[in-house]
Amino acid sequence: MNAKDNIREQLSAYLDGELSDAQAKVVEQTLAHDADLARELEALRATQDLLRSLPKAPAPKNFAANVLAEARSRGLAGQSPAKTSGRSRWIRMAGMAAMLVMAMGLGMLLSQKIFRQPTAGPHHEIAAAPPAEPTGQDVPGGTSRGWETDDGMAEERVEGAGEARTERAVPAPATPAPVIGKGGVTYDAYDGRVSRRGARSYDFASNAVDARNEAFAKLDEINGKTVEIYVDDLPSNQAAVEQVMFANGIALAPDEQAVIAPNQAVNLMTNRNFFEAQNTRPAPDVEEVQYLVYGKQEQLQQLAKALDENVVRRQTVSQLPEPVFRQAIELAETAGAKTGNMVEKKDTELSNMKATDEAVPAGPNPAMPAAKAAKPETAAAKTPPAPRDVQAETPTRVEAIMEGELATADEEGNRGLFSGSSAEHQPSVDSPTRAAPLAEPESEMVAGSGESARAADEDTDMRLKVTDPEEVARRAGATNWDMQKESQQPVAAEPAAVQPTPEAAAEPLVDGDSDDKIQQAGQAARMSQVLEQARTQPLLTGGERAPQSPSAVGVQQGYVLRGDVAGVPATDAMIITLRRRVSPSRLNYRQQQNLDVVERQYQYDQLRRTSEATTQPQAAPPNATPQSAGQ
Amino acid sequence: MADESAANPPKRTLSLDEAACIRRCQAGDSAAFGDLVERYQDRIYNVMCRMAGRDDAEELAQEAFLKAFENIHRFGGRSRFYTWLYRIAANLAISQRRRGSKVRFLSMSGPADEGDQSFADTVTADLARQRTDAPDAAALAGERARQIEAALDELDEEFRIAVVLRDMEGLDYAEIADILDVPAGTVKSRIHRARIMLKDKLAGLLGG
Repeated sequence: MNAKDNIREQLSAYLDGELSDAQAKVVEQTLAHDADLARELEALRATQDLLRSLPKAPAPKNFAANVLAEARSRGLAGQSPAKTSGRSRWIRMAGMAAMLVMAMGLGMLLSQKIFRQPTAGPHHEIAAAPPAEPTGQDVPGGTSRGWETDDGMAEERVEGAGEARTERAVPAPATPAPVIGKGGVTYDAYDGRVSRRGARSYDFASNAVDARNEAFAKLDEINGKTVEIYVDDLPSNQAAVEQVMFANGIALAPDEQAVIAPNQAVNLMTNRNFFEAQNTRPAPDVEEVQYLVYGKQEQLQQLAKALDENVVRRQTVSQLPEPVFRQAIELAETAGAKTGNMVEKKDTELSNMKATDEAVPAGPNPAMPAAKAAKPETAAAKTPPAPRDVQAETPTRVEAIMEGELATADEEGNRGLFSGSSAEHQPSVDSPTRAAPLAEPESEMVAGSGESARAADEDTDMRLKVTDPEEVARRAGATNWDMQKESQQPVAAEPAAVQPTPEAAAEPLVDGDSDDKIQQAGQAARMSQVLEQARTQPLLTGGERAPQSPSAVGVQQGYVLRGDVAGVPATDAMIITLRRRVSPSRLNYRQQQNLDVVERQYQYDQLRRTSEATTQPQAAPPNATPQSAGQ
Repeated sequence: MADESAANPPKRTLSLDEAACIRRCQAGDSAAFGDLVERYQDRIYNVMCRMAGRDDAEELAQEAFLKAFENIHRFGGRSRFYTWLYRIAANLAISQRRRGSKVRFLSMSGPADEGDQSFADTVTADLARQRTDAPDAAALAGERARQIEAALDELDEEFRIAVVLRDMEGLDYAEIADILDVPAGTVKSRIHRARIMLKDKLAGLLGG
């Protein structure tokens, strides 16, 4: 080996920093004058980078619990490991010896008594049976070391792969027994989900392009057969959806079956956020869980109905997109339901969200200041919002982003302000409304109508109904916006400015009805329309999104349909989407960057379309060109 | 290396906690053992993924921890716990791999064009964390990762475990030598040869 070969042999160690200073200096001096070695070093470095680029998979969920359960099942846990080890080893050795003796005896018996001729076959077969297998002959170096204690004492080879392929560890003893539902679907109550043991996500990554193309081709065929549910608590609603599917005899299919059979659904969720993995056009501030369900048409219709009844209608009004939320409130008020300070809370949260955005220095999103300038409302000096036609309102995309999310969704366990469960309305120390009722201004509506003030202890029953017929009639005839106009004065920023009136003092409740009450307030039909809008309204595009053409719905829809194969009619498929908005102020840096890219692209496209549609090339103003927009 | 670790306060603190865990574990405290499992489960699981494939990784990793628990009383603290644990895991993985290569009833390396579903999961999850720019890029990343996996799979066990422990687990040569019970020079040679072989196998990805 010449000097160059010697250096070549050192390259990996040099790359790993495992050479001494003197050795490293020699290598560096050689590399400085030898281009071949330098290239080889770079190739090794690139190889190392490739290896390091391999994704690391976290251990499976409940891995530690499974290990402990297995340890208990083997009698290891809860006892002295040393005693256990010694005992188990003796038992194992005794068992092996007994089996060996039995095998030899049986072999001899068979060979001598039955066949009356010595044949080695049975003897060898039995002697080579599993008890003698884990001898550790296949460890490095050909020794029987297996693994050693740290003090160098050799241990007999522990059973490796032979025992490793034993039955999977069972869950903890506290696990409830599985419930068998329709169609034999097993509901695993252990984690509150339809059992997905063995289920795996579809191979998005390797089939991305084909999947998208195939999906686009199929999209029109099942257009309309989708259920989109806006939620503020993705996990619990996901569980609810899965329970509904379970109750309707639809199982989550293990993805080993590339061909999805009827009555099965594929959970397309990856890492809780499918969009994050495939983030191009889709909004980066959205989390979705999607299911592609195959089944008979009637069955899917029934499923959609069940989802509507059991999941959609359980969604809180407060979590609806902002324009739809206001319309829902207006309708409910018209019907006589009390919405309490829901509007106020929503406005406050939106304002806080904006304030948070403003407080972030050098935010990566250049579109944000423009949106704030368009809506100069702040938490400090708030004026009642003017009446507006929600239907005609088409907020900009940025406004929609900023207004369509509740800030409390993240902090308060993603719980809506008002839900159908009375348990959620119990006083809570982490709720500003509960902890200090007077510290929070009442809603514009309530304050303006003179019924706003309440005593500090009037914070428990939010479901009491308005019993005053005059009040009901007055509410039925005026929207909250009308009542805000009545007041003609801004909501006081200081809680002390809100003084209880005798009328209000007699009013036992001001916080409003529950969502259930609102939804049942004689406007079921119109409310369902509103909810339908909530389901289908493209939140992030402000109405600017193109029709639901394949190219417009984004790649995420394409992946949803991947897996649709094997002759299952497309009309018998349905997509269920659970969607949750993420507050822009709570995005991490990378999400902010993605959002920034999307916003820039959006603005660029807008200006380009405007420029192309309204100006001639020679008359185009210089500041309306795409080039300037991109700057 | 010992000096470096001693100068690293977080690692030192972790070691102290770990020592307490080990003592409790040796006294029969299964909860302490659970802490140890949680501490090292990802690393051991990844080693098993690289050595034996993801299909077997969970069971092998579980087996490694159980063997460690069963013999924790033998651990005297003269080497690092994770080195001891890695030794168990590495031997299990190598044993499994060799056993699999003889029996062949477990398909650890199917044809490349069939794809590895579980591996795609890993890629997808990782891409989710990295917020990949485009699905096309995701596809490319998945394909690239698959090629790397295939190249690794073609290496002999002793080369593969060396390069896995070095480049994926970040262990130094001395630790790897301790785990594999070979001289440091052997580790150095194996890692270099493994990289040379991988470089040739991955020439397409490296542009060479």
